[in-house]
Amino acid sequence: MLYVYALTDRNVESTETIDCGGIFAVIREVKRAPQISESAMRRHDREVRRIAAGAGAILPMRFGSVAADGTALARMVGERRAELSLGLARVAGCVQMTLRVFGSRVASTRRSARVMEVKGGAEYLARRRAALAREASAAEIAPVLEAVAPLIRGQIVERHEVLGLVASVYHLVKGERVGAYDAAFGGAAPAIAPFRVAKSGPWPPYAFAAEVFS
Amino acid sequence: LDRADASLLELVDHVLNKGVLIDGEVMLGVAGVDLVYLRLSALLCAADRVMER
Repeated sequence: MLYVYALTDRNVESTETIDCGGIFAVIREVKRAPQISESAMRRHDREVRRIAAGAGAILPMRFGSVAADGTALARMVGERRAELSLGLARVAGCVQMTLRVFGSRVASTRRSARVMEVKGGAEYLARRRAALAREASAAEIAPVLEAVAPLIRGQIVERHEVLGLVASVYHLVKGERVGAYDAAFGGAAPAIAPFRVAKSGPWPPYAFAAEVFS
Repeated sequence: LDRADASLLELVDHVLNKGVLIDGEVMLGVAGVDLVYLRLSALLCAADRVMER
């Protein structure tokens, strides 16, 4: 059985790799699939980071991804070559920065309530379209998003319905621009009160890999 | 919950909930992933208290 760490655009030194026709799967032979544990997840992340350092582009696989053998793996990659190639091109040279937006659900609810104050059907639909667009964004941290906008290559926003956690924002950033991203974030973060934002990264582009087939 | 726990929760979100996920020839070999993630968002909220320090 093969444990699959990542797909890359090139053969990475000091790794066991299967060439799937120009897309390279970095693997390790295992007897059984791994069980979830902190040490196993840290090992996976460490290995993905090591692979990322030697690759021009990397799509990390989700923890626990296994294939029966090399033939099965090559078939899987071959059947999805177009999407995977586009995904690799998108993340080339980039890392991921993650923002967690925290705040009061009451504040978010008030914003939604204002959206629904409408007079007719057409206005309702227009407001609904605007609301849907807003749900795909993170307006609560607009000053931060504006500050980092010139530095990002991609953005994914996930809204959360959990008390306290408003949204997660994932940014794709060229590796050499992480310092500038940090500085821009630091300058704008105080302006988003009463919301708060926590930044982590750089990460391998986990969220953007997850998006390849969406 | 200390800062190390918050860091672990970030790791869990990225490693377990993100990354390429393909059905078919390549599959998740672990059990209970969804169950783990269901609890994650709530735990991230707790992590916020740590990050304020």
